[in-house]
Amino acid sequence: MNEERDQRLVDACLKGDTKAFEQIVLSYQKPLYTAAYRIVEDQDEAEDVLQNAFIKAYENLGTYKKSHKLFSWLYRITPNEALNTIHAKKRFEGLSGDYKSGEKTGDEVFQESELSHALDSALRELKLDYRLVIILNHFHDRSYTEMSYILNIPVKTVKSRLFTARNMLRELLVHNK
Amino acid sequence: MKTHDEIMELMNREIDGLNSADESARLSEYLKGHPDYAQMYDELRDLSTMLGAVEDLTPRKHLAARIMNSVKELDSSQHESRSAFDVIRSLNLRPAMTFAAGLALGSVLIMSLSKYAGDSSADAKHLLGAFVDRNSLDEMEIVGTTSVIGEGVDGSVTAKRSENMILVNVSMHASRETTLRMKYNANELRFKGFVDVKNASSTAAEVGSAELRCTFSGEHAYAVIFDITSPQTSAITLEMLNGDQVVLAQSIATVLPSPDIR
Repeated sequence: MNEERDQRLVDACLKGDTKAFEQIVLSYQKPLYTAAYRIVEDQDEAEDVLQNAFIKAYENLGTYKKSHKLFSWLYRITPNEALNTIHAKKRFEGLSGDYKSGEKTGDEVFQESELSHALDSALRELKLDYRLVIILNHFHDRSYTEMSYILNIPVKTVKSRLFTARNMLRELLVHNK
Repeated sequence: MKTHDEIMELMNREIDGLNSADESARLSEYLKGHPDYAQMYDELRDLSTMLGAVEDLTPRKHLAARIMNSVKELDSSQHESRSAFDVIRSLNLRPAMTFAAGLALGSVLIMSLSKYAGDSSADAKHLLGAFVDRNSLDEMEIVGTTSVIGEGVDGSVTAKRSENMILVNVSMHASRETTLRMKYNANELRFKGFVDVKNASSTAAEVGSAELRCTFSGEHAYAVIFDITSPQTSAITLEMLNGDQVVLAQSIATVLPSPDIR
């Protein structure tokens, strides 16, 4: 994820080079898919989220500002698409927010995370706002400032949520031992 | 004396590597005298280590191809839209008439885009894949399977079918550049899309009238999707070409044999 390379790819995309956009997709699909999956907790829906997010990115690439990392800009779109998916699903199915992974068929290949069961359960118990800051900070090494940009909230709020989320996870793991 | 919030801030910043040397030293000193906070800090640090060890999940291979297919469809629709309006502008119509003409052309564009990719033009076209939704895939059953071996090619082809679609999965290894030509009855099947599964990237397939060609070498896997447009469907013919010469031919069924056949 080299910033110079990203900028070259964006410039090429804006000139109509779709192969350049494909390079962006291949570079960032994994972390963005991880974020999407951790929100919607369903393989198929996470793929839908990612498709929508990248399409939105492609349509709005002209608005991307070099002052932010491309990854952060892409990341900004993903949680909103994921939340749109959740809200749409709730409208139709009235779910309480407990999503199960989709069933895997015989010819599907899906690499499972190595997250321990306890940590996975604890993460799922966090509300989305708290889960997001954990994902951004711990899974994808985003700074407070980047998280503030991605989530469109002040740095102070980022820190407050992150510290609270960590404490909540800690409590869940300690008391579930 | 430090407040709880101040200590939590120091501890979290320590985990994030953001404390100055002085702040780290003050935290360390404080924790020595407050074992409950020291335990909390150890637990937070362990948690951070645990979370940091989590690897990203890997999406399925077709995802990038699916995304790029959508991008290319978007590009095509925008290009056609621009072309249509360029034509209108060149007519030097009055604004109201321009708007009406644009609206009419836009309606035609929307109607044409609502159909699946590909038409029955005799000209060869480069088309990229189309996404098949999860429900359609789950409904499909295998109706035909065949091995393709010989002339430097080794692989298998499987046909799956739902009520409305046929999906042909191709998995091959070619020791030299080879073209696979898939021939089908255009009165029974309509080409919908092509997905390069192996490379997880978009690959062009040449689609002509009632046939599709894909050229590759080495390991390759892709899927071709057809809409079923007739109650009866014939077998699909698979030909391996070396240049223009057919070096291998197979056929694959698109319907399960009737239980009455003995």
